Amino acid sequence: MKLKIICLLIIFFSYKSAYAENEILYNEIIDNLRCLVCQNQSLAESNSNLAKDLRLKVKKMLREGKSKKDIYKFMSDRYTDYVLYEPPVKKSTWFLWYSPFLILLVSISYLFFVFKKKKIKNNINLNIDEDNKINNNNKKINIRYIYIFLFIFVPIFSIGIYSYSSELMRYKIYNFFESKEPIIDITISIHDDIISKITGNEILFVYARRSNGMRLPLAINIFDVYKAKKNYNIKLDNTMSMIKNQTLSSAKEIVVEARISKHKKAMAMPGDFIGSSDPFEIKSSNYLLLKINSIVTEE
Amino acid sequence: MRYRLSVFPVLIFIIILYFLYSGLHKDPALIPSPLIGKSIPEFNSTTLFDNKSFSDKDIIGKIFMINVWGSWCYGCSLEHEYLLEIYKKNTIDIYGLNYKDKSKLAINWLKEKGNPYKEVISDNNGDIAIDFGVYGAPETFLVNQKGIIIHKHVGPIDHNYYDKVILPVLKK
Repeated sequence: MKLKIICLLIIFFSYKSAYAENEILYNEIIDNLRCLVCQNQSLAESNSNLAKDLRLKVKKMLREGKSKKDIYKFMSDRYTDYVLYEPPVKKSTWFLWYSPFLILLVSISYLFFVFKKKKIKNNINLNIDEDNKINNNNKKINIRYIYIFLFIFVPIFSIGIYSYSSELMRYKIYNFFESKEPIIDITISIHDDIISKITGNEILFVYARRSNGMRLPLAINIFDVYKAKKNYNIKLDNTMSMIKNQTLSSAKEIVVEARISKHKKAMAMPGDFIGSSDPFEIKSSNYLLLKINSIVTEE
Repeated sequence: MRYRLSVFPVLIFIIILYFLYSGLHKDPALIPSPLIGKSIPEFNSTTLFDNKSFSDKDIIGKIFMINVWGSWCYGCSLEHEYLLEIYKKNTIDIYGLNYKDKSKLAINWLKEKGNPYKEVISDNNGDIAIDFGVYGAPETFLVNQKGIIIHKHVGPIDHNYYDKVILPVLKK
């Protein structure tokens, strides 16, 4: 459990730091834009012609160096804020954005009000009679507070936490409960000439990507490298994706690559040792022998 | 005090009911165009028939319609007779934006069904249409003398379109 969380965090931060930034930004943007033809799908999900065109447009704009904000503005200038899954904060959406806080405020003040009143009442009761009834009464009140807490605070806080956590964290939480299949069992063996060059300060990246040349990893994991260790047994599974919908189960044919990085960077650098598999069709469980036998010469 | 407080849930329920009810009468597929009240987007393209270059500056000056269509589009074949009707009245120019179509197919389509357009602008890859905020052909824009979009209609037009949308504008 702990290990898993740590792994997830590592993946999360490695994602943030370097990995194919444009591609990830691209995926984030098309995930946050609504397709206007199939309105319950995002641009990423939709197969309509317009969605294809708009995806191309986003790609083009990213290549021109436009920012996420520019692209969102471009889209909402043409298709209204309706294309944005996250409505912007402005006068007409104030209620939408701030009403949870308003409800929180109202419920807190209500609680405060109730507490104060009961206290006064109890004090009066105590003075009049010291029966067991008061205790009974108190118990009832307590249960009510628990209800109030459960029905008002818990939903508000959970919605708040959920919506303010990052998109990616949401996927990670979601993936945590998702099924792990397909799983790829990989045995990595390092070529003898390469083992002698390993100092133990490197990191081993293992990732699977589509065989059609898309660089985006569908599953990625990171391991420590030990001096003079020849074989590594590693697993990749469906939960190790970086982006929603871009998981192992979404692909048919994949390529697995393993790279030993001296600079501990997610991008391939000259001097890294690399090995990649032939493209293969993915099943629910796969076994793979991977040889790390070549050196990256160019970026 | 207790009875008075019990009014609140009912009140909240009624308010929610009102919003839900009013939502029933809205068409979620209809997206208001943010371009209404703004000038038409700049474009640079060619005409369908004689491949001349054609830009937004070439059409501004009179009140006109821009109709986004394609030979692949079913809704366009439905509205075609009404476009021809408007064309015969000879009161307003109709420009066609040939959206994501092959020129050959588009020309054949017009030869077969009749051509209501003063000029057809090619938009084979859909770039101009994106600037117009088009999300489903056919779409029809009404533009005034200054080149400002005053009305947008999504979906096939019918005989009401001329009387209810174009005539009031022409009379002004």
